[in-house]
Amino acid sequence: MEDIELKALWQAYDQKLERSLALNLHLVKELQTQKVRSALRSLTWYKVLLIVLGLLWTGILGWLMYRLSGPQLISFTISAGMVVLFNLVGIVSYIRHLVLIHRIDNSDSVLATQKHLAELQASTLRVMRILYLQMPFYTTFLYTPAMFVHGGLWFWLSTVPVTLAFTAASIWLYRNIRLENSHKKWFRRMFDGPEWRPVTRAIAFLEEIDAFEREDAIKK
Amino acid sequence: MDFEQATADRFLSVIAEYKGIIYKVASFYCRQAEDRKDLVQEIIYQLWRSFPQYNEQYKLSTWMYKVALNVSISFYRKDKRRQEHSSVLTDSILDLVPDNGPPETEQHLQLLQQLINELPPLERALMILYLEEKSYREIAEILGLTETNTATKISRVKDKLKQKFRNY
Repeated sequence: MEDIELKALWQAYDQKLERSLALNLHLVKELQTQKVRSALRSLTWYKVLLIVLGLLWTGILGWLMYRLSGPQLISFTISAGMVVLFNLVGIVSYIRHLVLIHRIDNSDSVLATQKHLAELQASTLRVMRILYLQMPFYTTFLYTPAMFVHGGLWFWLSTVPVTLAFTAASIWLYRNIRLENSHKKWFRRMFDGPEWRPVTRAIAFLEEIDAFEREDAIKK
Repeated sequence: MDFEQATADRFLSVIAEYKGIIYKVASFYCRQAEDRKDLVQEIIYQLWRSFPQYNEQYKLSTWMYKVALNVSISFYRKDKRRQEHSSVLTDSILDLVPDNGPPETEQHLQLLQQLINELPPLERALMILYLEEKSYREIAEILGLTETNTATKISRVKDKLKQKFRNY
């Protein structure tokens, strides 16, 4: 099929639409006065849900820190404090994302808007890798100063190695959960659930946009 | 007539004039009639939201393509399995009433739609704009590419499309 035939076919399509496309003006008027569920609403609600859960968990930990204090519980206070700190980082990041979602301008160029949107979806991963750093602090909640003095072999051979393993795992995850690793098997297995599908799709789409842009950069 | 009413009326006339753009873009990103109804609604709603900020220095069709393509690509990227019908309206805003054109043209049109639908979303946008006979400059502006790159890409996607046609 030649160029001219393609365009002739398109013109036939245009004529067909011209003849038979009916616009319901009454419904457009109705739409102008209604609050419609936006395509971005699911992304917004997901971030709002994470903020609410983060605030709840931070509140519970804050309350426990206030109620359970004393020299014997110093490890709990420090651990819970660190977990609260990481959660606050997550909450602030998600609030920032909500502001950015609100600022998305569909009348901007297609590549700019789509890149912005896909980055926002993929950014859930960036927050997640920071949140993984709080993992070891969950293992130190019940440590007491007495354990270090009188804990004996059991403490040093079972409890401490668990904390060290969690520390190593959290640092490894922090360093390796990156978009560049999204093709690796462990990454795909880890983020395989339906809740991660929008994020992994966003990553794939970012790559598609980048390929478009890379070609563009070469030509410039 | 107050300003708001004048804006609303102007918007209605713009939609009536450019309804073909909305339908075409929606139909190339969404083949299911029920989902397309949602997509058309979302495009018109986003156009309405963006209308007060429309910069008259650009063509209306450029603005309309940007919004329609952005909304359609975002809609297309949503996980179909989790996608809910979000219509607040029970009927379709845009309806294609049955039209019996020449059977051969109808057949070719369906094939063209199918083949464009098989392209990745960004290439699809490029092809729609090319077939709409937009200038390279306008296509580049809508998509956010340079003109040179737009020309190269169009040539490549066009070849791909022609090849697919030959294979059918």
